[in-house]
Amino acid sequence: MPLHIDHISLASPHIFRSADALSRETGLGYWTGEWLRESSVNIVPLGPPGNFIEISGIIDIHALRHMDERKQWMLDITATGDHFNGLCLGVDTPEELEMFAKHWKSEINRADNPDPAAHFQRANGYILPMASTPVTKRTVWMKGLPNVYYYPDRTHHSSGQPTHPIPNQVTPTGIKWVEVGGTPQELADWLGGMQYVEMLPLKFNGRSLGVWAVCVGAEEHDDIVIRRPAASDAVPVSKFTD
Amino acid sequence: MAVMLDHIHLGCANVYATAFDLMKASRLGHYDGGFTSAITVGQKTMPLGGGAYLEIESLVDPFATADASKHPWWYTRAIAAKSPVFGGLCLRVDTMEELNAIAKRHGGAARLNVRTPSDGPQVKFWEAPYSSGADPWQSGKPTWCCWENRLYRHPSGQPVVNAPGLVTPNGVAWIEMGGTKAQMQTWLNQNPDDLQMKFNGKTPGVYAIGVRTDAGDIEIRRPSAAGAS
Repeated sequence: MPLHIDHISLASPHIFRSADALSRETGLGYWTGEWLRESSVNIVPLGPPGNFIEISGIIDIHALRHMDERKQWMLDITATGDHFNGLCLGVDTPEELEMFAKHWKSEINRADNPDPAAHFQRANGYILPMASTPVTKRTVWMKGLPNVYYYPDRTHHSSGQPTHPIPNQVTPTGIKWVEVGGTPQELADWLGGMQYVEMLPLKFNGRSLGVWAVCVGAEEHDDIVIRRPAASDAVPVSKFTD
Repeated sequence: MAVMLDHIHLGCANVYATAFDLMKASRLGHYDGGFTSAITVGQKTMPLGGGAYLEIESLVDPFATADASKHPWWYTRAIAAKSPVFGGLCLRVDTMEELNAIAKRHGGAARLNVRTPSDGPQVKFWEAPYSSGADPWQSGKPTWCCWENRLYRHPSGQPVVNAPGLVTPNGVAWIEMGGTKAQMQTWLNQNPDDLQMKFNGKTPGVYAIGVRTDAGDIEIRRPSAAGAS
């Protein structure tokens, strides 16, 4: 599997409520995902070959007494409701990840970082090993751009975990397409070539950068389109150009 | 009238960290309890055996709770104490007639408590006595609840997240309360010995619980929210 979509982040003002609402809207189940300090995610598996939406938000409001740029961004992009705030691509080998890191002249967030405080963890304490790039002073998501992940072991991948049962639950069969802002050329410039863009099931709407919609196939069910504004609709990426 | 312990409340700043840390220390499992409808509170539920559970709660909505004056009293005290705090305890009766009689005796009424879990229909129970005044928990007094015909989905009976080394809880062996036995007997109209309560003479409230498990008893001790005022 070459460069592919791994997961999509949906920023939420209230992840419990957003997960419940999305499951009612779509019939897609979710599971109580992972947490790190003041942030947590609920995870919506989307089916093979292993995609998911992470509904992410701040769950410790006391932590907001110490504000930083990332927390402020999360508040700003969720003040008017859910916004897609991250497109996360995946590769199959550490060499491919290294190639992207080199392209971006970046380090890699290593999967074997022993510091638990550096990783999201599940409710039972399990930390899913994952590596990613680029490593930047602020996440490239704030600029509406994707980053890339590599999992040394996909057997505990977030897309494969059991969901809470819900009424009228559907079985997802994978992402059919993702609607993003910008143009193919803008993304090619970021990824280092049009060949990478062509590997991805993307539709470009020419609007501000980021994810605008996700279409998911489902067994014995019409395709499910989840449409939310991109984070860049709430906070322009131009704010983060320095 | 059969009255027994239903749940004990633990308020905190971060429901994820508190539930995880307590699981690690006690080896008692927990699961995602969902969120309450009224005050944007998230919950993790820790079954204690014997039909009782610990409800661990914190605020999880930075927008609906931006006004600090609207924060639940126990949340404010958990922040001040820099620790999870016991908010209170709730006893269970079998019928609404019993619950309404208790509410009447204390000059209050029964109100519906609703929570949206992550899996399925809303969790609902009636609790009393409530009036326009302060929450009885705020002065360290237990409340009562009734699940009507919904005990089959009681939070104490739901599966926990699988984690290594968990023990099996077999019920609450004792509850350490502030105040005196005489004060509690007056409030409960029942001998507190029936509920395995012991008293430390401090400000009324919950201070600790002992939980029987298949690997021995576990003590969970935290400040009392009522005592932390």
